Amino acid sequence: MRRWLALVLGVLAGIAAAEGFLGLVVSKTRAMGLWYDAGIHRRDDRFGFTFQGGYRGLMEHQDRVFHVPLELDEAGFRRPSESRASDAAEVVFVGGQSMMFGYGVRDAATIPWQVARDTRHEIRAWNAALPGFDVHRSWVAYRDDMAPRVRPKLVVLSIYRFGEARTEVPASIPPVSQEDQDALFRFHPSIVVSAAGPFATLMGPLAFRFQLANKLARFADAVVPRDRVATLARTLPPSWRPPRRTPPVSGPTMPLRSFLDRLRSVLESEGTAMMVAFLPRKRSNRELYAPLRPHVPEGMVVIDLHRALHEAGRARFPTLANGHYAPAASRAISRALAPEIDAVLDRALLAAPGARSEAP
Amino acid sequence: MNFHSTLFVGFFVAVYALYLACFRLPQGLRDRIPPHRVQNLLLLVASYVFYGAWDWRFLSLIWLSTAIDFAVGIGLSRSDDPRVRKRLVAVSMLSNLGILGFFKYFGFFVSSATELLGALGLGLETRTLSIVLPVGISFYTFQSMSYAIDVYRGEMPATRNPFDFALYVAFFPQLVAGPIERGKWLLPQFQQPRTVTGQDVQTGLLWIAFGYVLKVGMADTLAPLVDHVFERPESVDGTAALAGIVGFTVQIYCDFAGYSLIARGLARTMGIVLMQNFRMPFLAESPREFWRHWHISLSTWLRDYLYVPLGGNRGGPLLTYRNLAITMLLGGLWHGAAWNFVIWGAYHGGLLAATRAREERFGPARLPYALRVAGMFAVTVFGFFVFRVDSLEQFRAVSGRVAQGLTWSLTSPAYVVPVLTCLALAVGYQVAQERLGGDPEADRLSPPVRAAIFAFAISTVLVVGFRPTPFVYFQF
Repeated sequence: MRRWLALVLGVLAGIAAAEGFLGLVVSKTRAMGLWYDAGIHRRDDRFGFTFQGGYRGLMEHQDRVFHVPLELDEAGFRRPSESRASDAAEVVFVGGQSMMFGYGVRDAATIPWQVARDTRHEIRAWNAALPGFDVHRSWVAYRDDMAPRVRPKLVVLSIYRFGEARTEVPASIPPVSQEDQDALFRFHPSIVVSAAGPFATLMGPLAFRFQLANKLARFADAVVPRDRVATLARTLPPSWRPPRRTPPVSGPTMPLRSFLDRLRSVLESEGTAMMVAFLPRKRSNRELYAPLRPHVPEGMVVIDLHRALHEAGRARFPTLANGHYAPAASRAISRALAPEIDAVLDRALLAAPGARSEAP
Repeated sequence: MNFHSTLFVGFFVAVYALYLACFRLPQGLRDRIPPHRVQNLLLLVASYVFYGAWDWRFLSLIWLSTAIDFAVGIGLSRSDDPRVRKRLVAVSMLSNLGILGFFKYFGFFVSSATELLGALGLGLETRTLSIVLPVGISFYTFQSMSYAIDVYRGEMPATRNPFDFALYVAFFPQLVAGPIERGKWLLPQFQQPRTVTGQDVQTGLLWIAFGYVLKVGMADTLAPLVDHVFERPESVDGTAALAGIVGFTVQIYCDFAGYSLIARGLARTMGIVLMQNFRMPFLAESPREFWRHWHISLSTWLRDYLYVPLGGNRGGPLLTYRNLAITMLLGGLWHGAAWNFVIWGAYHGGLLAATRAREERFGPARLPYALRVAGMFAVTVFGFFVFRVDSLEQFRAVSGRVAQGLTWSLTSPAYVVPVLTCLALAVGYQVAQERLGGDPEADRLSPPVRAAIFAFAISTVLVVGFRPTPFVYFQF
C-alpha cells in the first residue's frame, strides 16, 4: 500500500514539476505566441506604456499562425484607412483592445478598414484601439494623441469583454503599477491557456490555469465533433471569470451611464456623433453584455455584434490565436457594423449640410 | 522519419513487438536459426525502411559503403602483406571520404574557389551541380571507415557475416546522427545471442523519456526564440540577443544530447548498449575537458583516427599544437561545408593549444571551480555563436545588439526566462549524470522517482507536442 502511495505521489510530483516547467518555458514562448519586433513599447506616464509613434516592424506568431507587417502612425496608432476622397467623413474607433486593434491581421483586414469599404458613405476610418487598453484608457489616448489631428463625424466606442463588462468604471485612470504593466505585456499566465472549445470551457478554471488540463480539453475538443460556436455560447460555467487583463478598478468610480454621457456631451459639443458597439466573442455575449445595456444612455445607438461572429463561425478559419478575429470574422463584424454607421452618418451629415456624402 | 513523430513511434512499436516475438520462435526454428540472427535481419530491414523513409535513393550510398568496407575487412583478414593491407585500407578511406567529399563538400569547395578567383579578378562562370546532402552521411561513413581501420590495425577481427556488418553500419537508432560506434564495441553485440532484461527495458524507457524532454520540451521550445534572435536581430534588444546566443548553446545541447539519449534508450530496450555521447559538458572546466564530454563519439574518433596518427603529443609542443589545430579544424569541417564551422573548429583548436601551452608553462589554473566552469561555459557559448551564424553580417548584427547594452524591457522575460529555465534543467541533468556515473540506470533510482520522471516527460511531450523541427545534427 505504501509502495503504491509513493508511486502515486511520484506521478503527482512529476505532473506538478512539468506544469511548473511549462509555465516558465512554454507559456512565454509558445502558447500565447504573439511577438512584436522590439521597439514597439514606450513607457507612458498616463498608462504605464503605449506604442511608439512611427513604428515599423512585424507582428508574428511563433507558430506562424500569422506573420504580418505592422506600421503605426506618428502617434503610435494603426494607420487610418485610405480614402480617395479628400473630404471623406472621418470615423474613429475607440476601445475594443486588441480585437479592434487587429491582433495578427494586416491593416486591410482590421475592422475599421473593412468598415470603410462596406459603408455607403466615403469614410476615412481611424483606429484608436490599443491592445490591453480598456475603454477608459483608449478614450484618453484618443483625446490626447489623436483628436488634435482628426475632426471625426462619428466616434464608435467599442466595448470588449475583458475587464469592461462592468457597470462602474473608474472616475479617472488609476496609476498603473509595474506589476500590472508586466501583466499587460507579458501576457497573464491564465491567458496563455485560452479556451479552445466546449470541453475547455466545461472544465472551467482548471483548463484556464493548467497547461495539462487545457491540453486534454483541447484534445477532447479535437476528437469530439461539435458545433463549437453554438456550444460555446451555451456552456459558459457560472463560476468562470475572465482572466484579469486590465488592472482592476480601484479608487473612486463612476457609473457607466455617467461615463458614456460625459463622452457623448464632449463629442456633441464638437459636432461629433457617438455610438456604442459591443464586440463579440465566441462565448455568451448576451450574458456578458446584457447587464450593461440598461446602463447605456437613452438615444445612444448600440449594436451588439454577437450574431456576426456566429456567422463568421461558419467560415473555415474565423479566429486567430486566443480567439482574436481572423479576417473572415472582422469582415462579418464589419458588415454588421457598416449599415449602423451609415445610418448615424446619414443623421450627422443631415445635421451638418454641405458635408460630402456618397449616399445614393 | 524523425524520432519525435507519431510515425516513428508507431514504427518502433511495431519493430519492437516483432523483435520481442523473435525470442519466442518455435523450438524447431530456433535450433536452425538462433533468435538473434532473425532479430538482426529484422533490424536490418527496419533500418533500411527507416532510412529509406527520408529518401530511398540514398540507400545505395549506404549499401556502397557497406559493401566496400565489408570486402576490405575480408581482404585484410586474408592478407599479411603490409603493402596489400595498406592499399586495402586506403580503398576504404578513399571511397568513404570520396562519397562524403562529393556529397557534402563539392559545392562548398567549388563556390569558395570561384569566390576566391573572383576576388583575384579571375572571374569564372561555373555551373555547379546541385547536390542534395544525404542525411546522416557523415556518421555512417565515419563508422564504416573506423571498422576497416580497426581491422587493419589488428584491433578487431573482420566479420564474415555480411548481415551483421550491414546492421552495424545501418542500425537505425544511431544511423542518422550517431553515436558513431566502433566495430569492436557494437559488432560483438550483434554477433552474440542477446537477452532483454527488465532492467534494460526500464533503463531504455528512462533514457527515451529524458531524451524527449530534452528534445521536445526544451530544444524545440527554444528553437523559435533562438531563430527569432538570429533571423531578425534588429527586432530585439541587447538582453534578448544575449539570451538568444546563450539559448542556442542550450538548444544544441538539448537537441543533440536528447537525440543521443533516445538512440541509446531505443537500443537499450533491445538489449544493445550504445556508447555515451554527452557527459556533463556544461560542467567542463577547460577546453580539453569539454571535448572529453561533448559529442564523445566524434571527439574520440578524431583522437584515435586523426590526432594520434598525426603524431598526437609525441613530437614536442609545437607539433602537438599543430596536430590539435588540424584535428579540430577538420572536426569543424566535419560539421558542415561552411566557413563558420571551419572557424568554429579553428577556435576550439586554438583554445586547446593555448590551454595546453598555458598549463605546460604555469600549471593547472588555480581559479575557484565555479569560475572555471563559468568561464568555460562563456567560451563555449561564444564558440556556438560562431557556429550558428550564417554570415559575418549576421554575426555583426546579433553581437551589435548585445554591445548596445543589456537593457531590461517588458519583453525581456519572454527570452530570458525560458533560456535560464532550460539551462538550469540541462545543468541539473548533467549534475545527476555526475552523481550517478553516467546516464541514470533504472536501478539507481527509486520507483517513485522513476514515476515522477515518466510523469514529467509524458506531461511535457503531451502539452508541447511533436513539432516538425528536425534534429540540428541531421544536417551534418
